[in-house]
Amino acid sequence: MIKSEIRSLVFNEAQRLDPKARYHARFLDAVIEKCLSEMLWELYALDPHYLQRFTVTCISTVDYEAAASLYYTTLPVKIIPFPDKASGVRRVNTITQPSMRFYPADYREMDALRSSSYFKEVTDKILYIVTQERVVYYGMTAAIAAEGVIMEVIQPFSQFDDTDTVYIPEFRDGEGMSFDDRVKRKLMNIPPVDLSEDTDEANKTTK
Amino acid sequence: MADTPALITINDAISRYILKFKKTTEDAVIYTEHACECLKSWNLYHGNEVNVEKVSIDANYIIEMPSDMIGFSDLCWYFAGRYWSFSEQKDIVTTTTYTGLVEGRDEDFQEGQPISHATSYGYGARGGVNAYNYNIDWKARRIFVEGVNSDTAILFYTSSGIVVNGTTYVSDLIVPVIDTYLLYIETFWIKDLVREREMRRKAYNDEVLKARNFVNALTYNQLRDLIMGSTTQGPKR
Repeated sequence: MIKSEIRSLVFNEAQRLDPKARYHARFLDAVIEKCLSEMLWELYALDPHYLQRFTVTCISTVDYEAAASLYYTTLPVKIIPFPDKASGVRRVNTITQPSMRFYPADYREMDALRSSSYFKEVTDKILYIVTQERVVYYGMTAAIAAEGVIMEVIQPFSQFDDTDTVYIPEFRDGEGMSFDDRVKRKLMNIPPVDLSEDTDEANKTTK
Repeated sequence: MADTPALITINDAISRYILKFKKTTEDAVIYTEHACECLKSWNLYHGNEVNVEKVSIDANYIIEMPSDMIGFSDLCWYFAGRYWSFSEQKDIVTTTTYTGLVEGRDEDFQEGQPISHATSYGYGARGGVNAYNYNIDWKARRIFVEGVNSDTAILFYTSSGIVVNGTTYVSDLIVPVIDTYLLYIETFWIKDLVREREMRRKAYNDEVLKARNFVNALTYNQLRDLIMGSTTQGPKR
């Protein structure tokens, strides 16, 4: 569904609950984002492989930080962090996409590998470490860095444009709650009247 | 080539494991470490592959072990197109003596001296003795030989099998061994799998036994040559 349609759907469903309801678009987006991220986490808990259906492809450059002697990519968009090492960057590869080339890792592994490991001896795989701001590489070569990388990321609702299609996990939780049920439940906790007085044009009430 | 290759890289073995058992790449680094441990274990305890290398015997009757040598298999001399094996003599003197900064052998301590054999002649005699002998000092990582010096011998030894400057290949035969080992060993860090540990250990042991039986069992021709080489055939009536 298109992002603006999701917002409109939620707004209209909220009005059905309370005819006087008026919500800022930004507020609705925040609630939708919270619910959507929670559902993606639940999906991750079922099987991390399922997240691949919700990724967005980004092509990024690789930079070099000479002082620390490390290659990195500044995250092209904000991501939803997940508990595993790949976090919100589910896959990284070269632009030409040969065989599996990049593995997710964490700093602990990278530090241990550098001192002594079989991994260092037997493989030319590149490790990537996802942080809040960037992706740091271990074993990156200058040639691949020059080429750039392609990433499959899970981005939060706020990162999509209004005209982008946003996929919603279509499952219900143990209480039978689907995505819009969860959003409505969150909206019910906050009185909408208090939120309708902002006259900022950018945050005008969604109709 | 008509069929799949008999050797694959250890990287491919790990990638295949991730594919076959629907693993994420999350633990690929850890799997790599353990797959190498599995390969090392196979080479040391089960497999039949040994490294064969020419080694120098210095003037002090000493061979310095290769840096990757973990297990000793054999030490040979070359003779008439074949290898002639040295005999182990645990009592060959393995000390050395320094004169200033120069290491040497001191005759007063019987260092580097020809060993005597308890031979006798006549009735009930013990005759032939091996002219080439060795004694291993693992701590010093040296092999002390007797019978020849300042020459070259052939050393058979086992190593980890993990290549440092190049690609590490494994036989396709032991891929199931690596797979089951990884399935077993991951139960140590994936808490949910702890109940499966024993079951997976057994599966690994089964695969090891299967593979080691295959590589170490005698073929029909080897059995035939063994029997016919040590018996006298007569006509069958």
